[in-house]
Amino acid sequence: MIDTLYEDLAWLPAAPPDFRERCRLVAQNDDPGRELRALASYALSTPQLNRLASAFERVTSPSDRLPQLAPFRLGLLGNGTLDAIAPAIVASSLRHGFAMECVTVPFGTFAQQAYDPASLIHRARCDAVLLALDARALPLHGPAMDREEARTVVDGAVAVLDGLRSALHAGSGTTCIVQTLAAFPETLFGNADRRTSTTSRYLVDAFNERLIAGLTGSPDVLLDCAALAETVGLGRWHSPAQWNLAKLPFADAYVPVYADQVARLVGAIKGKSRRCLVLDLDNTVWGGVVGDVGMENIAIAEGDAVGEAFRSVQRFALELRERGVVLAVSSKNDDAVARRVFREHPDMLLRENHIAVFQANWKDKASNIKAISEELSLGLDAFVFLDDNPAERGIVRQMLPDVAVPELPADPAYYARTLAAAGYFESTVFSPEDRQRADYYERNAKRVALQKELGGLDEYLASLDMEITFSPFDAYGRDRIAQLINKSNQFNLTTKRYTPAEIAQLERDSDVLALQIRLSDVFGDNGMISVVICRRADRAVWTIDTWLMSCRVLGRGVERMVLRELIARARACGIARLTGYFIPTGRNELVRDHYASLGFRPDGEAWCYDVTESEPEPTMRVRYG
Amino acid sequence: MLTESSVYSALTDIFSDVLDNDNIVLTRDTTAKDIDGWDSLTNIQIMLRTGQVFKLHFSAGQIQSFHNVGDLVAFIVDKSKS
Repeated sequence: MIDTLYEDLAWLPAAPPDFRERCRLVAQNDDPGRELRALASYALSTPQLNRLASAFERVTSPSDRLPQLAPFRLGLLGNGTLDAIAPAIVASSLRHGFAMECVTVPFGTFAQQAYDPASLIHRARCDAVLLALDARALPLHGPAMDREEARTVVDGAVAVLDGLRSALHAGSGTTCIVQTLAAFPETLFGNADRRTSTTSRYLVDAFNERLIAGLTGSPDVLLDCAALAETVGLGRWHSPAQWNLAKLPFADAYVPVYADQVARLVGAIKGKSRRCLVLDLDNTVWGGVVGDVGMENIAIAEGDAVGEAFRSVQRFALELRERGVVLAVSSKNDDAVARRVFREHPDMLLRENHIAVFQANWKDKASNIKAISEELSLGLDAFVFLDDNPAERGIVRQMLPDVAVPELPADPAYYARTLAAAGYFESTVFSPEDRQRADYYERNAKRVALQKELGGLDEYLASLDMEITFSPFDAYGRDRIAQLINKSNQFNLTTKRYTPAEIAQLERDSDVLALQIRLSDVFGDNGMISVVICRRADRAVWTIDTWLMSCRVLGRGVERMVLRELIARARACGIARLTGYFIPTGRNELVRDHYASLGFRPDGEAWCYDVTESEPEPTMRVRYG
Repeated sequence: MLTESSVYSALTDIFSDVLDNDNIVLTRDTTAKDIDGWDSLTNIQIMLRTGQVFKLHFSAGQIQSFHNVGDLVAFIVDKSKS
């Protein structure tokens, strides 16, 4: 995934198995625009993009069926075969909110099309024309030349492009999207190519520099094809075989990423780029769960390989803020615990004043992001949400489909690169006002009152296909049990610590019910996520000595399933009542209302549950290990 | 080593995917004339995807030497022997 970040569009979730079927059914959908956009939001291969483009063509009339897609007409002029690229651009544009019409012309006629005022491209009145020319289209060669002669050659090639641009401006007043040229990997002298004026590399570099300088003050927009090609590797970008066979201007494998670049650039031209980055905290901007390991033990230090990975996320977020992207936080944490890291941790790059809205609480993140959106008066389609936890990403995607939620690789060292590769904050130019935008939002910074939780959560949880496994303590689980018992601070009712030897004893104690609990879901196995220890206090009473859970699975209904299991086991053992305690430690505010919310009744310091009462309904599959 | 039937089955999936057509039936004698949408451009996409699936690279000369699906299948089966 990391090796093929760009060609696989790895920041997008993988297409579902029924992708083809859904494409086929788009026309029958009640809301085809929404469905097309949803289908476009996956990482699609070239054939999948073609299929989606065909599905889109089938529903374009009447156009009022697609109210959420903005119409855009893009002319394609170039020297290679663009027929394969046009449908990919159409489909990728759906991803960025456009009902795109691509105007293509017969192969090899780009100059005639630009210069003939009655041509197809002029008559189409395009919103923009993409001049997809590569180095083969321009007179960038000649016999051995000195620097002066090379300059003349480059001037000539730039004049060709300028001529096309002027003709397009004059003929139909359209904006041009121009490309830098991707250099060829074949060298002539080798390391001396860039300093030898007669080589292709020298001329291509000089051309690109001139092209970029010439855009100042022009409404035309740059597609930096050279940068894209270098990012994926020039040797991969240029396929001599595919050029020879079909005049593909670059290897077919890069059609999806190229098409996405075009679509995001169109988005930037139309002001649709995203404007706010919402950050999760634990294991996204620092390593570790601060509520469990404590502020001193999160990974964020320079010089520590893990810490540096997270610093790169913080650094990138700060750079985005410098260019006007608003930052916000949505984290499952105690507000005070999370803020303290921003205020006091010496290694933090991000500080409280960089964050326009800071939402650290235990509510679901979709509700939090909605609250942030309302506070900032920014539409949800302006938001990007960065979170290492696939379940949190899934829930936000499902409930707030307008929010962009990048997939992240397992290794945090690649978080910043993946976020950058997605190009959510694409911009055609940078203005001083951009810089001030983040400050403007921060002046209003405050914690937002929570909205009521969004509906549909149960449906989402059901779609996770969760399976909970209850097992007695055993030798296999001992290390992880010890780790959970000695490290969990937040979701921990009593915070009692036990040594591995004591845990081994519990395995044999007939007056103790000790359960290790695992959870798996569609995203994989979460491993052991909860531990419960009950002790027989009396012939018919169990005291809940320990009840803890990893915050990673918060909000999944695990605690209700655990209670259900305790009730069943209590009944089988002739126990009439469960008694639990909440022992506050300053770190476990999260579970202050744990017993109350599960239906336990207060009895002085204790909380009691009569097991003859009904048990919670099951919300997932149960297994016994 | 691959069997002919497994290659036909994989090729049918590739053709269906590239041509967006679930009714593709490939035989030894099938040529581009027999299948809607199999033109020079989709041919490249079919060859590229076939190359990816079977971990092969087809040179232009090899592609030109395939006169029907049977030739392509024979080539892939033959390569899988080495």
